[in-house]
Amino acid sequence: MITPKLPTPLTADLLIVGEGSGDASFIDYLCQVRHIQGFQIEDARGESKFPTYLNALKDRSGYERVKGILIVGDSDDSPDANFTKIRNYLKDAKLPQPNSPLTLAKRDGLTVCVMLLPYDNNGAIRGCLDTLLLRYIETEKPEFKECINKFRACIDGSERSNNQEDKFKLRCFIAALYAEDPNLAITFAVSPSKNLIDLNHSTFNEIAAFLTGFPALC
Amino acid sequence: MIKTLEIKNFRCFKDLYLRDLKRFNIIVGESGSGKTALLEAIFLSSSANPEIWMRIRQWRGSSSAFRLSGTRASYESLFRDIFYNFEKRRPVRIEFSDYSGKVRSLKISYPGLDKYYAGGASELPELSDESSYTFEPIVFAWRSKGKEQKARVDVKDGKIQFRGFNSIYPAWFSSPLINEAQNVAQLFSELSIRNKSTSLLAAIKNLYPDLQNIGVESIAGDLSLCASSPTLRERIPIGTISSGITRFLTLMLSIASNPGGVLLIDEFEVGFYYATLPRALDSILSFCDEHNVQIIASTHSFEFLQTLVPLMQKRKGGQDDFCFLRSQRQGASCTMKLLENVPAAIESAFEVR
Repeated sequence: MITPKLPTPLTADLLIVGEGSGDASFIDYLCQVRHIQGFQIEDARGESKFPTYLNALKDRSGYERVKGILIVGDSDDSPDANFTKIRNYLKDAKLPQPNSPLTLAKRDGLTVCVMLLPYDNNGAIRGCLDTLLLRYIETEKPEFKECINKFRACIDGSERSNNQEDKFKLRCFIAALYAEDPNLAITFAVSPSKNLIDLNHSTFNEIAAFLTGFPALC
Repeated sequence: MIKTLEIKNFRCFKDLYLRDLKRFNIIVGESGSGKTALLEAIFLSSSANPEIWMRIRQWRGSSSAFRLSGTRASYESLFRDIFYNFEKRRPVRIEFSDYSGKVRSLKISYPGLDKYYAGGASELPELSDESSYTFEPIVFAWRSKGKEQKARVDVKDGKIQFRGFNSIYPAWFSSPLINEAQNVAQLFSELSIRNKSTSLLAAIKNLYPDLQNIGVESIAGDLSLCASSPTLRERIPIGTISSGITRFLTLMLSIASNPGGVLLIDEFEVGFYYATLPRALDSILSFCDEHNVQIIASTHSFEFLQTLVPLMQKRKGGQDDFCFLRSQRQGASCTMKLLENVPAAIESAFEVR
């Protein structure tokens, strides 16, 4: 049985909402490691719950204090479609809607921005959190990269989307590198305590820089 | 059924206007943000006599055994917290309209105060005369059906006297701070005499199947609603069995006794065991439908809201019958914010209270 969550108010001026728990967890640990402060970071509990989360936001205790909301989602195989989907959720929730990823929408003292992973300064590129983490691991563990590519070819030659390929490979890396729990979820894999991902690595510099600068934009 | 409510200069409300109240109105918000004050405002303006204000004072913890010294300050101390920011020169105004367009209002003021200020004095002179009429009495002026009726609060021989009486609006105030045992017995008796207790007894049986032989008894001269249960040899007062049952009965009896009226409930959740709360709430909502009663209630309980939302969603009218408000304090004044999507907030485990 899943323990029900206790109700929580909004307690910070700036809110970061991860579409899923992996996105939220990654941003949370990144902020911790880089000493980026001032955000309340939460996950919307997946795509199906995301509209409900946004619709209810205005009724939440503490909403009046919120000056900025940064939504973090995945581009997946179609950054445009995913951005449009999030924009429509914002519209339904009567929240300001930016015109493109990483641009700002402002209304009534509230700034809203959407960041799609893997991060790209120019807006969004195909992929997801797994793609970003894969970039880091392939850089840091090149010796594993070839093995996993061979494994992938050997297992199954069927067509998979780029996203599915990235998720497959990241899962293999985690299983290979974290013997204690080969099934470790990404939500936990990004924790500094697991020593799998160094969030101080240059791969994550641009995201950290954006997060650091976000309060000044609100 | 009350549709709009306007409150000016009452307690913590400088200027409040609420529109489109529904059959079930739930107010959340932190302590001291005006939830109870809003219920009191409606109750006061529904009432017939300023005596209600003295009752409200007692529910709030003031003693009923006050003794007036005969000075204006002593008299006015009974009413000082009626006025927003204690500004007694600004009249209180409470007005509500119902869905048929009828308007009822209450103005509370010291009509004679201005004469003291006419000379430009910034403070009232302290009068030490022991006579009862060294001051201008406070006046409660109700207006309904186009007619104004005034009642004033006088003092004679150190005691309060209420002069004037008005027609009432059917409103009932229920709070955990009010001992309801006597009321419950009286209301049940009145219902029973009119042969109208059947549906209430069915609701009680549904919620508390062990309670049997419910009826009014005289215990040492006091009326008491008693019941028996399989574990008890004799019938005993229901309040002795459970305060939760008493709360449920109070609410159900208030509904049955005020058809077409409004039930004001402070801290709705108090007294209810979590496992019986869904069925108790379901019965109360159905009873309100049956008797055309509106509820305006406060709560601090997330569990209560979690229970209410599915009941609300399964109703025919759904969300249209419900209004959620959150009281908030902004400096000295309190405001109310309309909550538009409480079911989604509860589902997302958001704090809304």
